Amino acid sequence: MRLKVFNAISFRIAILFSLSTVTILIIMGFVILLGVSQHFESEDRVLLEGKIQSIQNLLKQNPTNTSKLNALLKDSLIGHDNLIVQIERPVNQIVFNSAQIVLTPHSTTDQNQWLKWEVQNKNYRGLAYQNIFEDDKDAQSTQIIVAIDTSEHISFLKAFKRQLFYICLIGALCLMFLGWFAVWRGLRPIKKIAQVAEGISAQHLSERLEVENTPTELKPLTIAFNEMLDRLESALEKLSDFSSDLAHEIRTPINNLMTQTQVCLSRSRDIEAYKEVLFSNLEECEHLARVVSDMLFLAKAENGLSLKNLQTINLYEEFDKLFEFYDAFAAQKNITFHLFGNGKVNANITMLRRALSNLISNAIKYGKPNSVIQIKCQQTADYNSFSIENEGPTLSAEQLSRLFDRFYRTDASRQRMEDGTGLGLAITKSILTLHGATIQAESRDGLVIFTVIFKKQDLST
Amino acid sequence: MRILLIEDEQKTGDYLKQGLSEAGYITDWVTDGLTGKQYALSEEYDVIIMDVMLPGMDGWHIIEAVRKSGKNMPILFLTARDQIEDRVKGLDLGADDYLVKPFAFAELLARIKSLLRRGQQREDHNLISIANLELDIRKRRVTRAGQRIDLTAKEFALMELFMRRRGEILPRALIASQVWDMNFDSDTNVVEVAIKRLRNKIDSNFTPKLIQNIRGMGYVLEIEDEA
Repeated sequence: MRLKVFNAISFRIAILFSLSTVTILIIMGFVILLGVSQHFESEDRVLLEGKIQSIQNLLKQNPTNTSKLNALLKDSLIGHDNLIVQIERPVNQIVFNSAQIVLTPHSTTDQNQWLKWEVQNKNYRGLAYQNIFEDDKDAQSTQIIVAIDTSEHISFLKAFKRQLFYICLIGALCLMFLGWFAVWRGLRPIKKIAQVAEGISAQHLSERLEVENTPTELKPLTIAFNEMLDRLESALEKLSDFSSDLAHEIRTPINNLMTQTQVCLSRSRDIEAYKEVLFSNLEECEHLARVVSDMLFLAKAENGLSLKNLQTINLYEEFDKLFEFYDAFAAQKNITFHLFGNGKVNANITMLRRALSNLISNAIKYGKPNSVIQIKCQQTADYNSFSIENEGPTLSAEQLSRLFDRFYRTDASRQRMEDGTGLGLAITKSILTLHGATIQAESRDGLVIFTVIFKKQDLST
Repeated sequence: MRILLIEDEQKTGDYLKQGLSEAGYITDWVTDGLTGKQYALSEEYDVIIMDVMLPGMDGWHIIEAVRKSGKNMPILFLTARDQIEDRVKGLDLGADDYLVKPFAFAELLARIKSLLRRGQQREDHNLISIANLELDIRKRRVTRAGQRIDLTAKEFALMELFMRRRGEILPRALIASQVWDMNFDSDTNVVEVAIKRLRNKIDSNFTPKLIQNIRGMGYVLEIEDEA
């Protein structure tokens, strides 16, 4: 549960959000604090410098230390309870002191530097001003020290700091919540996607996400999701088509097996009749076994069977070998082969042979008697290709598009047995695909042409 | 010739034992791996035929145990799994051959014969004959009743295969593989047509007929009357 919370995007964003705002607030607080205390300082300085100026004037007007001067100085301090003044004339001889203690300057060199004292638990800061009358030898040198009580400033700043802390804390909490809320709201479309996804099952694959009103950031995801559904739907459709085809392909021989055997057993017969049934059963079984092994091969080829033992294969030699194999078969229909050109491809020899063999046997089966099957190999800089061309009934575009489908037969009435498993071209295509090659079928003017293209880069691998 | 058959599937075991016995082999059939291993180690057999998936102990362990004990009779394993790794594993462990289920019984017999033949000196005559047919391997010439018959190179290879393995039923797939190097189940009846043409040349105008079609199993070379 804890982990779940930490993992949530909304939680993580809220934390990040509040952390960054707290940082900004703290920096801001420090800047304000600094500004305020600097403001106080300059205010104090102006006040104190003014005071020093007026005291200096008084001292100039009264060159001797009289009680009148004392009274005048006292008068000038009325209303300035937060100020203390100490006047020495000459230096080190105190003439006037409104503080209870003797103020000693720590340094007399820099008249702009703040001096600090603590008097009666109050913090004072002040300025010392020395005046040496060099032009007037009679006048005595004086030192004026004026200080101001800063306790108020300090307590003000203290309170200000505390307020700043609370503002930060509350602000961070508020922003954390707001951030979480904003993200939660922002992520709502994702929840919607999840809801739709939940409703999708093999039976309801037609459902799609709405793209129009989806936020921009989620559009690619939504589109990809929909496309995935499209692919799944078509694959599933193919699969279910295929399963029903398969069921049909397998059910027919099984049905034959069962009825034949049942009829045979229904009464006693002579040995020849039993033999006949057994032979017929054997043929059905062989057909079944071939369908199963072809299916297995296809399934493996389509699930990323790894290609092993690749070797460079001379197409001319390979076709020549196949012609020898099909020699007698083709001779039945008086079909001859014609081979043009040459080429080399990189392939697994057994697989390639199987693919080519299916194409040639196809060409013979559907070829016109007394015709020629032409095989043309071509080599260019980019690819190796060959085409297998036989004379035969022209195929329609619809037939061509389904030619590589499993169990597809151009002529529905064709005999099942003599036509093999109906998987030949599907196997050819999957073998070629596995080799990175492509195959295309075209048909015109009483010709059927299969073209296979091996890209050159596949040769080098 | 004694054969040990280790097969847990009742029906398969039954018909294999029957078929092997009828082919003239003395066959012991056991149904689990442990008994199988015990028999293989204690008795003398000329060939062991075994399934890979067995109760008690699988086929791989039996092969290993047999080879470790120093026995070197041929071992042929049957597998329903068409995995290349499986075959490689079996052969690596010391098996001599394998068959993938389902297989033709004739194929099994042919494999057993060839396993038993292995090691024996192959008689390499230049001249092989059966009845009134003569095959001159060196000169690539066939004569029947003193009459020269013209064969294509592949027809000659086919004839030679039949002659060398006379009396053996040769399944179509084996013929395609041996003569044309086509190691897959061909869709069409190509082999049948090729053999039909060969029979036309060597059998149709002569007696006795030599190449026999055993329906559903394959072809065999033997003198007609023997059958």
